[in-house]
Amino acid sequence: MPWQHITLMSLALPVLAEPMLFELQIKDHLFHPSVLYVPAGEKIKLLVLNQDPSPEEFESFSLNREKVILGNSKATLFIGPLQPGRYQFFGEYNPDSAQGVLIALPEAQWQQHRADNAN
Amino acid sequence: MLINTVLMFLRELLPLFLLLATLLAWHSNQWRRFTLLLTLPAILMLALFSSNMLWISEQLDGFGLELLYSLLYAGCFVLLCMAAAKGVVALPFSALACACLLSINGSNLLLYIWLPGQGNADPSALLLGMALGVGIGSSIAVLWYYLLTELKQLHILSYRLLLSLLGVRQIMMASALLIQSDWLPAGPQLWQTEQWLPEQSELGFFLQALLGYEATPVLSQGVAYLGGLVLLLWCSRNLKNNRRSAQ
Repeated sequence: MPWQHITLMSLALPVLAEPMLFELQIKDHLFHPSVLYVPAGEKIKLLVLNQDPSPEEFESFSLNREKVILGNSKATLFIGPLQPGRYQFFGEYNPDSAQGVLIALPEAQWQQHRADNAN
Repeated sequence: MLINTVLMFLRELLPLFLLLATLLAWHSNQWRRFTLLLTLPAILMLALFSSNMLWISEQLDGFGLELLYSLLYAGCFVLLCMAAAKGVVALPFSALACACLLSINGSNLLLYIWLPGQGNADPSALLLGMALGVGIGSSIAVLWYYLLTELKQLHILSYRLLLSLLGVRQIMMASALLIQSDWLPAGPQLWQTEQWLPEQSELGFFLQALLGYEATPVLSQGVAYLGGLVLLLWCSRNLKNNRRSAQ
């Protein structure tokens, strides 16, 4: 097969969109923000920044996710695509204080949320 | 602090103790050799991983720990398959499989025990929590051991099934880590049993440790689970003969 054909075929391949990035911080064994809004039906990338000197484990049964984040470091994890709804998460080493919820919004509500935040 | 420590220990130790009890029921006549073969690689891996946790976690765009743990979970499963299939290597491979799991759960526990913040906490609560967690976990494991010892005598197929479920649980754990690192496509969600049997309930907790129960599994996990279960059941088809030849 000529090289031109291969080039044309590769150009025709769909471009995989980079998942949207969301940020979560851990400070004084608390999640900031404690309520995180994300779009439903899309894979997202969650960056967790641990600003405490001690490690924490991001844990969520409903999201099927667990990840250790060492002290003063960051970690990334991929989530979804999610059904619209609420997904609890917590810090396993400090479950009494480190708690939060991720809310997956349907398309229309997500656009509304973005518009509200932009204003 | 006390309750958190108990739960933390139980969560990390129960899957390990269940696997250990299952393998000890299999190699009950060689338990000393099994313990020896388990201890050395487990200590080596534990020391290596724990001392390099920060470096490992920073590798591969921050997914180094996930990859290592998935390799260890998958290694545990493969070793169990090989142990079940080949009677000659059953004992060392079973011990190595257990060492793989011990190195993961042990590293997590060591990290928890030596948390920088734990220095300010009440050490008696930590010690009591550890003792309770180990106590509850080992009590369940002892009961599990005697149940399996009886089952092995009476109905080998049930023993094979339980061993396979414990083995394939490691595949479930590995796949979950690979999915969250975006190395394995998740696929659509298969079902949602969060309302009926939450993972954080006592039964959900036990089933998670035993057979890798997930309230919201995805397609790739389901495929990996079924494939792994069939493979381990097939590998263990001569288990009775292996045991006899070992004796």
